[in-house]
This record gives sequence, C-alpha cells and structure tokens, in this order.
Amino acid sequence: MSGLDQRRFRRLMLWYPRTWRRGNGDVLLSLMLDDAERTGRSRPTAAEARAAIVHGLGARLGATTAMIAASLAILATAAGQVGILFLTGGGQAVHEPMLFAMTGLAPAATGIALIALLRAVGLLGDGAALIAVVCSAAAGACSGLAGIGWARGFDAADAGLPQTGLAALTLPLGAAGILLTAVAFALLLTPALRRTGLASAASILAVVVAVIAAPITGTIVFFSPGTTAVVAIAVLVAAALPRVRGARRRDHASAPAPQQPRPAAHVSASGAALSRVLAGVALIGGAAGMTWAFAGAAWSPAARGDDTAAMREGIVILAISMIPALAALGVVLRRSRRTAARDVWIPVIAASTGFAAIAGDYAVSDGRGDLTVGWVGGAVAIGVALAWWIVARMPVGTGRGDAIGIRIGVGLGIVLAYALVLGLALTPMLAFGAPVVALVVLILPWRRVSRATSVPAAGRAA
Amino acid sequence: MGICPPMEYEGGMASTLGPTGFWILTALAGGRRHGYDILRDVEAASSGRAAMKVTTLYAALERLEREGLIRADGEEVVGGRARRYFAIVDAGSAALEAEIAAIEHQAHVARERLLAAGRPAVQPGFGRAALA
Repeated sequence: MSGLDQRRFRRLMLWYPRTWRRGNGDVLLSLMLDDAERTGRSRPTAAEARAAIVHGLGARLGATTAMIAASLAILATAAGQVGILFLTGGGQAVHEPMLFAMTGLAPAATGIALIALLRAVGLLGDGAALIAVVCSAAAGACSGLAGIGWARGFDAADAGLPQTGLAALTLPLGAAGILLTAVAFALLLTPALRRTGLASAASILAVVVAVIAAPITGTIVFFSPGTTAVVAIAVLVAAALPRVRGARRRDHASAPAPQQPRPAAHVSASGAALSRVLAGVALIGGAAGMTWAFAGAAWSPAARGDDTAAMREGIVILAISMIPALAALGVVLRRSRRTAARDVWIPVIAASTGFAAIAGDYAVSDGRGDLTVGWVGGAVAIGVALAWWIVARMPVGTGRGDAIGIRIGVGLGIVLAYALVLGLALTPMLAFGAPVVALVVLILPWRRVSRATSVPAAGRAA
Repeated sequence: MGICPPMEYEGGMASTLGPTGFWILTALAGGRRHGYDILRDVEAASSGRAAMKVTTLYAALERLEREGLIRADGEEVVGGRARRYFAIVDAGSAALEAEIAAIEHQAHVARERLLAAGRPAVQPGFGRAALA
C-alpha cells in the first residue's frame, strides 16, 4: 500500500532495547507493516502502539537488567554501611543520603532485579512486570524518605523538639511504601500461583500473602539492610546462571541460535580419583571439626571445658577442611572443561585463602571479637571468590569496550558488599559447609560421569 | 501484555497454554509458518474470535519458544520484509494434545449439565467455541 507511513511503525521499535531490535526488529516491523496493509491502515492503531510500548519496555527487563539492578542494590547497601560506620563528620548532609541508599535505593533496586529475573525466566508478563517495577521504585522512595524521617524524628525527640516535616511523615511514608510493596508482591505472586493450579483462587491468595508479607518485608528492609544485600546477591547469582542468560538471549535476539556442540565430557580417571581423595579428606576433617566444635570442650586440653573455645578450635579444623573440599570441587568443575580454568581456579584459590586466613585467625586470636587482619582478610578473600565467580559468568556484551569496566565495577561492589555487610559474620560460619561440599563432590558428579561413559559403550553395543 | 491468562477446567487443573498459545500451536500443527502467516491462520481458524495484535503474537511466540514448545525455523526476506518461520516441536504437540483433552472435558461437562437441566444439547458449530 503506497500510503503506508513506515516512519510511525519504525518509531515504535525505539521502545525496544537495541540488542532486541538487532535480533527481532526487522521481523516485527515487517509483521506490523504486513498487518497494516492487510487491514488498510497507514499508521499503527492506538492499541497497537500501546501494546508495542509495553512489550518493548518489558523486553528491557531481562537477565542483564536483573544483574545491574542487583549490583546497584549491593553497592547502595555497601555505600550506606560504609558511610554510616566510618563517616563521622558531615552530619545530616552525609548520613541522610547514606540512609536513603540503604533503606530506599537498595530495596527498590533489589525489587527491580527480582522482577527482571522473573520476567527473564517467563514467570511474569510484560505489563505486570512494568507495573511492579513502578511500584517497587515508588516503594523504595517512600521507604528511603521514611528512613530519613525516622532519623530526624529521633534527633528531634532527643532535643525535645516537635516532630515536623519528614519526621512527621515517617508513618504515612512507611505505610505508603508497604502498600506499594503489597501491590508489587501481589503482581509477582499471582502468575506463580496460577501455575500451581489455583487459577481462580490465585489472585485472592496472592493478595492475602502480599498483605501479610509486605509489612514483614518492610520491617526487615528498614532494620536489617544486610538482608537486602543477601537477597540482591541471590538474585545476582540466579541471573548469572546460564539457563537464565539463555532465556535473556532469546528475549533479545530470538533468531534461531545454532546449537553449540556440547564438548564431550572430559573424563579423566586421575582427576576423578584426585577429587574423590580430596573430598574424602575434607569429609573426614569436616566430621572431626563438627565433633570438636560441639563436643570438644570435654576433651580438648586447650578448651578445658570452655564450649566457646572448643567451638573456635572446631572452626579451625572445619576451615582447614574446606580447602581440600574446594580443591575437589574445582577438579570436578574443570572435568567438563566448559568453564575456563581461571574462572574455576581463581575463585577456588581465593576462597581457600580466605578459609586459611580464618583458620589462622581463630587459632591465634583470643576470641574477644576484635577485628583482626585474618578475619577481615578472610572475608575479603571469600568476597573476591564470590565476585569472580559471578562476574566471570555475567552476560555482558563481548564486543564492547565498557564490558570490562562493568565487570570490574560489579566485582568491586560484590567484594565490598560481602566483606562489609555479610562477610565478617558469615565467613567463619561458612566453614561448617566443608562436609557438605565434600559430600556433594563425592555423590553428585559420579552419576554424571557414569552416564557420560555409558553412552559410548551403549553405542558400541548397538 | 500479550499473553492471555491461563484457563481452568473442572478437576482443578489449570492450563498455562492459554487461548493465544492454543491457536498458535494449532496453526503450527499444520506445518512451519512465519509470523504473518500464523496471524492470518489463527484469525481464519477461529472465525476472527482469536484475532490478536502483532505484539501479542510476538510475545506469545517468545513465550512458547522459551518454554520449548516451538522453535524458530529459519528466516527469509520477501519483498524487502523479513520473515521468521516457526515450527512446533514434540513438546508443543504434546501440550496441544493435553489442551484438546482439557477442552473436550470442558465441553463434555457443559453438555451433560445442559442435558440434565432438560435444555437442548449444543449442536456442533452452534454458538461460541469453548475457547472463545
């Protein structure tokens, strides 16, 4: 049709992300033009334009968005924690932005990351995802302002002054934040509940759960910023999983991707034996460490009946046992050769260094809880391991100059967030995972190896 | 948002395919088709009741591909316009079979209730289909 105004259709494509347009833009545009010609239209209908805007904006909520938002949440939590702990001067001008970062920006970014993740794996539609994003951002703004109002209210109460301005608005802002969070939760829960077979009751149940969960979440976010960082790290790890990244790639470029030939499983008898021996050592050490930690007070000559001292000795044994457990895990992960050696061994070495530092610290320190080089070093090393593991698997564009910058920025954010927010408390406790890691190495991979080796045998038999 | 909500039928089971997914799989059950072809086929097969917007179709195709029910099956440029073909896969055929069984169950229950109430049974081709 000669009167077709292609510019108006092309303009709709601008709502889609560039990578999506590269893979799908021409096909969708052609489809729109074909349909317009058939129905005798020269321009998009209002409904068609609205649908394209929703679909285009929804296409921007993928695994990459989830990872960027989660990283922002981790950075905001870390920045807020650092600012409040270490920046003693500056008064409100310094502390209030830090407070807003922790109680407003971080939870909003975590919510957006979660929404993008759910949309990336197909558990959330475009329209619901977009409304949930707006609710999450608005809830974060209310929560952050309520946090500032709460702090100002305390200061005013201490000075015997009346509650005015933001201080007086703390409760309404908090309530608005909770209401918006409830709306976002209901939107996220409804499709998931529908999939369980609760089609007609799904919406009602989602609203009930959301109304209960929103105030609980709001309270946790407000008083425990570390929890927000934990959720953000979990979302970051989930979004970096190859399955989710695969879903994102299909979202952005659904051109038929050639099936990558899977490399044949590299089954090395010596590697298998080595990982088994290492895991066995770790399992024995882990069991001994557990026993020592919980019952060692009765026989340890150093503990002499002190349960806390015995627990510290047990953690030393467990942290040392974690080193062969991690090495065994590294050998197993390298067996398939799907991951580059450095992306397996650098995290393994960093984590092992962290546990060695913790073991050394617990062996020599007096246990009064003072920060020591070994304790902080251990948390930083585990943070480095976590950061490398995640960043190496991030689906950041490969041909772009800023990809390395993004990886470094996100990596530093994770190290900082882990070390400052979680690591100091969590890292010694992670040592208790030594027997679990050892068991996982001993049990799970062997099935895979036996399947991989049995296929050629069956083929030969046929 | 392009994807229709799931349907439910007696027995407590819910279908996640939805009317849009059902009609797209039905169109592809006859062979590989490109997007515009699917659009026309769905409109014709459903007598216009399942006509959908282009973006609705595209979002549904993305979802069905992500769920492993269909696959992209090549592209070509015809008259300066890009066309991507889609084909149903085994999992898609199985999902369509399950959906048909669900619809037949719905129709069976509805017909029995009408008969039990002494009303005339719905004749094939009369009135709206179960999916409309």
